[in-house]
Amino acid sequence: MNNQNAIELRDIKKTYKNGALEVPVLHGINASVAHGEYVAIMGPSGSGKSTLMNLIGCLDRATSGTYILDGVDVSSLNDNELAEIRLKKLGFVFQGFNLLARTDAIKNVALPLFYAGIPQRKRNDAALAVLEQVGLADRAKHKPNELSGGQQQRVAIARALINDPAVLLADEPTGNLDTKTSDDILALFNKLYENGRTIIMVTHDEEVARHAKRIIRLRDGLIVSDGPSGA
Amino acid sequence: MNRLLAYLEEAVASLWRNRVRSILTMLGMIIGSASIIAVFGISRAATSGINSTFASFGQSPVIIYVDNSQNYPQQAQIHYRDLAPVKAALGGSAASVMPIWQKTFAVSFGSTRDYVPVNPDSAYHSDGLKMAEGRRIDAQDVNSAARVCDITQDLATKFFGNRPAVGNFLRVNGGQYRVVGVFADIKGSFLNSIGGTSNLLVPYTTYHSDLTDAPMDFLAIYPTDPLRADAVGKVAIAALQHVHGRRAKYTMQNTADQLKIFTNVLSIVGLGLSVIGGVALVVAGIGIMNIMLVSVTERTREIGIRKAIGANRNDIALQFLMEAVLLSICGGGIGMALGLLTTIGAASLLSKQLGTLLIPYLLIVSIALIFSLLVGTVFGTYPALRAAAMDPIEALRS
Repeated sequence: MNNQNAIELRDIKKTYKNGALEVPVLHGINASVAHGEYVAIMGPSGSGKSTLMNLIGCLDRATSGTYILDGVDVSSLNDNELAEIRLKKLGFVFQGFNLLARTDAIKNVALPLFYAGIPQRKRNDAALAVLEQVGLADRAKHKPNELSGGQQQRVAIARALINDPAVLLADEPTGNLDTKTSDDILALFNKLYENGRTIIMVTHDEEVARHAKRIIRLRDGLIVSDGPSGA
Repeated sequence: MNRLLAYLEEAVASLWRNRVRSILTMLGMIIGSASIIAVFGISRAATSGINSTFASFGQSPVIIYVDNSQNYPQQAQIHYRDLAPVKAALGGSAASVMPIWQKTFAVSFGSTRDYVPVNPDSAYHSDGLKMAEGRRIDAQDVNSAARVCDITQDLATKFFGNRPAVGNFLRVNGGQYRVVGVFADIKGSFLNSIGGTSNLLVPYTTYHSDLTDAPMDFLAIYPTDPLRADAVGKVAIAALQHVHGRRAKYTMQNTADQLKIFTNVLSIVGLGLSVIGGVALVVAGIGIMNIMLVSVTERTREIGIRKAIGANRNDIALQFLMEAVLLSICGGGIGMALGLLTTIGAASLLSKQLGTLLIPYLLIVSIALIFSLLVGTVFGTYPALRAAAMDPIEALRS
């Protein structure tokens, strides 16, 4: 396990087809992320960082290349197999929180376990435990519209953590938050990193990226730099 | 199972969030299901009532009467004296041959007097009529042309009040008749169809000797083998023609055939109305599909979130299918309740004419359930598949 990388990308290319028009977005990405790393992916808009994020998140497939996630080659899996990978190996945190409205925090957090076929009682126990980790155990019964932005993002992080994923993926996790709340969330990420969690974060904000230990910079579908953040 | 229950919980919650819309969508299903159940239930109940009515006639006689379209119908009229040659011709193939007159006579007891339909009866009773007290007319009464009668409960009450009817005497057309029996409930019986609930039966021999010497209205023959009813009727007509000449024309009516035709008509009408109800169900199903498609579009983001979290196609499809089925089952269930109430109401009205009706509850419930399930599944599948096929990236971007 230890000599194996959490993520290995080999010559990943992605081309979108828009009718007869082919739009190449990624031109061959080679990178690997070891277990326990905290990586930020940066780049201006149009650089392909969102596309790369979707590929890493198994929401999309590369046009060519090999992607090995936690020892599994996921390059050629079908939709349902990718869903299974997302369920078992990945946790998502989005810019817009993406919690289910009118559904209380504990149910939101427990949702992945529902799809994993865990019985309700176990789901609730596990969800409460993760909410505890993010400091929101007392808000378990609150619905998203009864929570602040920072609290909603914490619930989203709890949801991403509940299946103990190999990789935690965060897409502009602080994009909708004020500075103070952003710092709280980033501190939470830091704590998770220190506990050994592998984190990959996409951001365009240098300030935010500096919290990661390593920064991969993209431009026009290629990696232009890859190195420690200096943090 | 656990999982299905959880989906169900989700579906209930989601329908509850949009309750007005859910109820309006169900309305189509309610109306469709209610109309199918009501039509089906009532026609089945009525058929059972009509069948039991005919069954209480007992074995159906072949009825022979003069064809009035012939040139000299009076020459063909069936007289009491024709009974003997007809009986002789039929031999063992007829269990009973009886003349029928349908006349009304003055009947009185003390100062109570009324005109009452009087019918002939023989010793052959294939009907299921029960006596409240006393006995039916028997062979001895017939052979001796005794002045005895059986009466209905209504007549017993009218003439005798609280006094015992059996053993008492009624004056019928001037003669004294001893009451030997009172019928129990005759709802939905042969008597009922002739003269309502007031009826008086005397031996047919007495009817002829004391009440009338007019030709009979028709001849009733009970064939020994019900399946040979037509052949028996033809033999009887031939025997009558032998007496009245070849030109005398008679018509034969096989009541068993009539019953068949009647129930056929009823079932065709029921089927036709059920088809209309079926169309209503299809329309309701399209309504459900429409709303589910709207729901899928509205909840694109939710679908995206669920997929990103790890829901696969089946998970998403099942969730939306569950909602559609729940809509149709709830609508169908409410419709079934309404239809059942309508059926029970209609049956209680009809039972005044037809006697006890059987409502096929089990059949109704299972039909309603199966149809609701079918409509929900058929019309919920397309929206569910559309939801399942959504691209998670696109869905999250919405």
